[in-house]
Amino acid sequence: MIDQVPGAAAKPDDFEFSRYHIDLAAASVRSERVRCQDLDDVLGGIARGFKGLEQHPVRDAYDPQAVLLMTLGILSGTQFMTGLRTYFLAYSPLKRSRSGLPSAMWSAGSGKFGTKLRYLGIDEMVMTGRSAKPVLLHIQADPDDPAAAPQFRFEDAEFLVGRLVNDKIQTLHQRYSPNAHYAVIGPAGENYASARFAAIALSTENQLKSGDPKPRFCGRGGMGGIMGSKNLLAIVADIKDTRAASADNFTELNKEVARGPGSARFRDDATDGLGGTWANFVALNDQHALPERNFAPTGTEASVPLYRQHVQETGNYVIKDESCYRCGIKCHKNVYDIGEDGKAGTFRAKLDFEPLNLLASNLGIFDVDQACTLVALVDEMGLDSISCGTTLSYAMEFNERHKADGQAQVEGPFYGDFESTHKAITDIGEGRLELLGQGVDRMATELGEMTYAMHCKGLELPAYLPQTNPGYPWALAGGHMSMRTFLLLLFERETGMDYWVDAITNPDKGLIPLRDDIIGICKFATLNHDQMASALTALTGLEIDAGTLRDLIMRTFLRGYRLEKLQGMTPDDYRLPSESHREYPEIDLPHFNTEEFFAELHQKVIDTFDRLLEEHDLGTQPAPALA
Amino acid sequence: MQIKVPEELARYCGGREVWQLEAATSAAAIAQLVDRFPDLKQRLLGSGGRLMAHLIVFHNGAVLAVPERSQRALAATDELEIMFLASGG
Repeated sequence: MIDQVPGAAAKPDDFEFSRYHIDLAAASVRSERVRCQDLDDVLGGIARGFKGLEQHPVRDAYDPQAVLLMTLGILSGTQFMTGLRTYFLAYSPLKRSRSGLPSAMWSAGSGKFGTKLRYLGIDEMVMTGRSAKPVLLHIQADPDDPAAAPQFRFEDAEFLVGRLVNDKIQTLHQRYSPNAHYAVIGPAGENYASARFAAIALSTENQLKSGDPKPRFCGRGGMGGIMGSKNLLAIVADIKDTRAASADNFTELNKEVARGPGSARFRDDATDGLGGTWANFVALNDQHALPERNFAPTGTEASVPLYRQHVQETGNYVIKDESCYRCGIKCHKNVYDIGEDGKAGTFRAKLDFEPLNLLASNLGIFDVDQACTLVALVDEMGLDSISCGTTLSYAMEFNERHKADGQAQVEGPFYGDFESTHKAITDIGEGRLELLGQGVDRMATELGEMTYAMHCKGLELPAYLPQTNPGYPWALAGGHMSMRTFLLLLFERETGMDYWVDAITNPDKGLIPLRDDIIGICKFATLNHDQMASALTALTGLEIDAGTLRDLIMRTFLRGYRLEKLQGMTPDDYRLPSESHREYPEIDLPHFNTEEFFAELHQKVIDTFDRLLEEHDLGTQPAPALA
Repeated sequence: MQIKVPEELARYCGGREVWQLEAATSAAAIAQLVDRFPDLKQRLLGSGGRLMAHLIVFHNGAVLAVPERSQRALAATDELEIMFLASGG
């Protein structure tokens, strides 16, 4: 927990946080207590993380001196429900400007790892350097004085090399105390040079108890590759649970999170088994707006067998709603083979909307058994399922368009072909398929066909059609995690210019996801600004209201936007794949995102953000870009 | 009875999320609301006048299964709430 100086009136510079500098090359650790300069520092997460990144520009994401930053939000590891987030920030090996420079990126994950770091008194870790040998970082409380600063040990990790994600975590679980939780990379992170979308996996209580592969992932932007480039295979956060920080209104707010209307759409208990993002299959396919075959809906019923209801009706599976640590939403839809007793047997996969769509119907695969196998394989390889799925669908589309001219890859992957898809995923994770492992942007550049390469700024698009979402290019860290415009057309059916400029630039609409990635909670908590402000005020004593949070969101976005510019981004970087502007008659939603519409929107959004950037004082000046 | 629409749709029905109506069934309540605020129609109803698949309906706090959405009988004190089902993140 960030500490307030005793007896002081609550203002941001009365708070301090702990920062640990980890030098992997020298196997050394230096700690400091840092006095907060502003609210951004106190609330932490990506707000403070951006401030750190802008002081450490790089030209190569895998430069040993490149920073891998770990931050927690103010609510991470507290008793606030869903306050489980850990953030990894770095210059991404995937996200880039057209100049080729890597761009600032973050990825968030739940699990219990962040909570353990909070118990250890760690608010931030700044990791640099590259270990000569595979290493793990073992962090534990001082056994003689649990309140003292944590102890760091660099330990040989040769025994982890090549293991799959769950094998790594279970092996560590056998070796270390039952109190420990883990951040690990999979084979993809070890093969970072040819797999640019590697994830960091964070262990969960359920995973350690069951032995099943159920970690949570910091998936987007290749943070696992950054960790791998430092030869850091795992971080062990080893401490007994202690009493987490709380505030007097947390109990009431937690009830709202667990039982209130905001989270109802994610909960089976509120929706009679419809909860969770899996429901998007029905919602989007009803309008033929579900990505199929590289984001080109077929207008058919092909994806219907992947609806949750139909998967249940096969009688082959048990679908359980399970939860993160101490979370009442229970959004996870974990699929098991049905046992002889009718109960859950072997765990197959956690089916969220994005992995299921991007690793199945968007690849022309409509068999749920095959889908479970592919989703689980991607997780076990430690790959980001969104980037992996969208890269595969591009490769399949390329092969489809070139099957007659000899340019198609002989081994695939091909639409609807489970075997070639399975092989491609394995080869990407194990570093044998660099053409695909470098992601859509670089692959399409190499193949010379960009028009259907579904990415913005090098980050592959998530499972919502770019045809219906002109906001994608301004997402800082992945199209749906950091720009909430992806369902607006379905919900509101607005096609006006003013509406979309506002939607993209408004801290209550498009930019709202940034709030939760500052303070450390899951987006599924879905509390409004007033509720969140009351929680933060109760915890810190700071005067925070809805307006404060709106300002914080805008400031954080603008700092990220400035970081993009510092790494070479120009207006030309904020583009959609050109084929997403053409009309798709199969989609039962208005066609409005034409090239002409987008050109005007582009100018207006850029003008708005540039004006806001001039108007806002973002505090400390960033370090100049490297020559 | 009382009917509530998603906050995002309030601007299509006079800026209010909650309306008091006299309706004997859930279908009648939705039809009344759409008649009164035509801009709601394309945002609630799909082909054949059915409620679109990305919406979910609660009756007195309990979700209505799809076949029940239009047939549920309502009492004067009942509450109907329409929410967006789809989401991501």
